[in-house]
Amino acid sequence: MSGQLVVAQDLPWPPSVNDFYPPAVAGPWVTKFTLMVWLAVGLVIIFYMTAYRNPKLVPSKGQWLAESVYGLVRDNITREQMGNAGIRFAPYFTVLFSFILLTNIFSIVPGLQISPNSHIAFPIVLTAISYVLYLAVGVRKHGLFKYLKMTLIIPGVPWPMHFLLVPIEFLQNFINRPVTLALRLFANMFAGHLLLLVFTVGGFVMLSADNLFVQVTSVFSFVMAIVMAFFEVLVAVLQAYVFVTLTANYVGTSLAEEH
Amino acid sequence: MDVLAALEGNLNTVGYGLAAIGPGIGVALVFAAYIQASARQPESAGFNRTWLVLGFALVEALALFGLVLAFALS
Amino acid sequence: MADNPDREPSDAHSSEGVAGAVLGYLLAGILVWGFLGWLAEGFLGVPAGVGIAVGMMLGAAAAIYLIMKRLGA
Repeated sequence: MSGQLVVAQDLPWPPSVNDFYPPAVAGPWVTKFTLMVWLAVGLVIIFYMTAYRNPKLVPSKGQWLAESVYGLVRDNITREQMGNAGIRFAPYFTVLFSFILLTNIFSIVPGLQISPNSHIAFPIVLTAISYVLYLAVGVRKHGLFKYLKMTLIIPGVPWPMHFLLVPIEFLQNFINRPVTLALRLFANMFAGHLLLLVFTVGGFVMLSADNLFVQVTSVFSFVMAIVMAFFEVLVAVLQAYVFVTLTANYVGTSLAEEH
Repeated sequence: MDVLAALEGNLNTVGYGLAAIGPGIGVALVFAAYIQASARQPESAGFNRTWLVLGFALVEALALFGLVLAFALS
Repeated sequence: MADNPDREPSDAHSSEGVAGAVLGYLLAGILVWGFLGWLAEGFLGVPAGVGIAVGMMLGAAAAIYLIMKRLGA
């Protein structure tokens, strides 16, 4: 047996939820995920600080990148979803987009190779911020009673229908929205990591089999692992975009005038 | 009687899988028709969108019946 | 639907928003009224399955009505 094949003996097969809990780095409070989140926060802060410390009319590469990310979020997400009134939220959405994108991309960076968002706790916190944001914006703009009336009661409906419709609106606007927002991000990153594990670890397991045919077939498993890694990039960008777009959409509905 | 095949776990998952086939095809037909209609006649896209939403909702309700019943029935 | 000429600028729902909202409303309607039907079935002593079926139908109908009011028109 070569060295590679001995490695395969220790690899966890089949992949399970336990693979999402790497050993703690120092004590129960400092795990790989803690460090990765701090790394992401640090990178986002440093990137935007250096890009905007000395802005020029003809931008440098860093400034150009920062400006295009901000431009994308401001024009394609915020203005599209909320109209011009929403531009004041664009800085927050830009930071949110950068943070989610960075933590999602961690799932394929060598050495890190898992996204903090594949633990439900992180999407829940991000969603809680969005949830409080759109509730607070709505209550501040319209007042509590009028905001509730606006979200729960549909104009131009015969009154007996309200008994039927108000519970649905309540469940949709105050429970469904945050739950699906958090779950979508979490499920995508979780499934992506599991998929990569299946193809990479599966490749090693096939390589260590006794059968020559199975060993040769492991090439396809490794090829699929590489394809899936690129697919992960697509999913990472798409999920960051969708999360921010939906947040903007929800804040936009809170801001909308009564109709 | 000989057992030819056995199934472990909850049969509801299989039921939901079967229940999702029809709505899956239905949603595909609804969106295919919408895309075709608005490609042939782009100015009708806004008008057709109402019927797109209605058709999608009617078809998707069947899939959600299956989803809820898969959890509710024991 | 990005360059649809007759879409309203700020109040229009994006296609992602519409798809999510339709699914959410349907699921919410079926869940709420299915659950209430299930409860009513227990209280009224109707044979099992009738309450939840009626509740789910009612919820789906209400959700479709709501979707047409909110998003369709």
